[in-house]
Amino acid sequence: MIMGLFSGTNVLSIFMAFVFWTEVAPHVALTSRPAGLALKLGAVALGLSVASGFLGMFLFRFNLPPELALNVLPQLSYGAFWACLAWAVLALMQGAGPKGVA
Amino acid sequence: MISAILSVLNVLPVLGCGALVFFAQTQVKERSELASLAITIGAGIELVLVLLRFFPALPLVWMVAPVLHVVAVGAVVRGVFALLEALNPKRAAQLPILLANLTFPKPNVATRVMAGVFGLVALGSGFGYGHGPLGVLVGAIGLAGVLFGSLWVDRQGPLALWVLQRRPENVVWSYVHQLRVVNQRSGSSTTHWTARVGLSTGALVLLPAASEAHAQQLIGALFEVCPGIAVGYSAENLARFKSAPASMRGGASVPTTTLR
Repeated sequence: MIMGLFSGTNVLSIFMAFVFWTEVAPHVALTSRPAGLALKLGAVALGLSVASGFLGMFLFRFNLPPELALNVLPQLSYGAFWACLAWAVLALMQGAGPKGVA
Repeated sequence: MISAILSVLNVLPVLGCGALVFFAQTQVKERSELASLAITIGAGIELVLVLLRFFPALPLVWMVAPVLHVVAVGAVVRGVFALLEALNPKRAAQLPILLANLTFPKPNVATRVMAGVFGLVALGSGFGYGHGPLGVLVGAIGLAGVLFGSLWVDRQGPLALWVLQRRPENVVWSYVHQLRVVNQRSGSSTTHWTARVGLSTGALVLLPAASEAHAQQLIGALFEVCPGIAVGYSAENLARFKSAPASMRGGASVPTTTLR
């Protein structure tokens, strides 16, 4: 289980979540607060897709199906990550105002 | 039951990526062709990857999938930054010399190299993506892509300078901040001075200063670029910044106080 957490996708997801939280979101938040918030939530969602491996261990102890954390939660959070990116782009465009107006 | 939920959840990234492509083509395109193209390519790659889940007999595609994920996310981030550039073009007005000549810390390459080494160890211990040494290699390429992306984002400029050059009207508050770091072992202390700059979006960025007087001068120069901002730290200003930052500009200025 622990070794599984360090699989290729998980390592990349951890790094990408960290970059989104510390660098991308603060830069975008200079222009639009909702867009920055959306990207921070996206980073959390990406991190959650990795942390679900740990959750699987707890679910197993409480007789809940571990597939919930091992499969459902990663899928859910990865989908949420892309939804957050779409939300950020929409928030940027909504806060932009009409074209040609600074 | 679980498999039924999973098949429904497969639709979620499709919806997210579909929405991205839709926004890129209908709204972003009229502001920036580059942003629209990059976002469409990134979301498109991810859409193809999600759809390929229905074809399990494609081992080569699955082996390079981590790199394709990084490329997809990277393309969307590049698009978002192109959109930011298009929405906030650089103003023609020059900044006061004091602000224009400020030296900001440079993007740290060494930290990223160190993070890369940790990442490689993690990839090696998990043996990549279940594809042996080749999987580790693919993971390493993806990792290099993420670290390069992080460096690229960092090089887009210090946040405070970016705002002053492109959106000075977003600045609403500024105050001098002192941070004193004491070394418990030697008893020596170092003082770091900054001018903190609050924005109407609720973000707080900083201008590095050499001393308290320098920080005060920076705020003076800032007031030239952004007249009407609230100046000085007080509990009242902090409460206003947390509740309604946009309302801080144009009000009566509070005498400067240093936050220590």
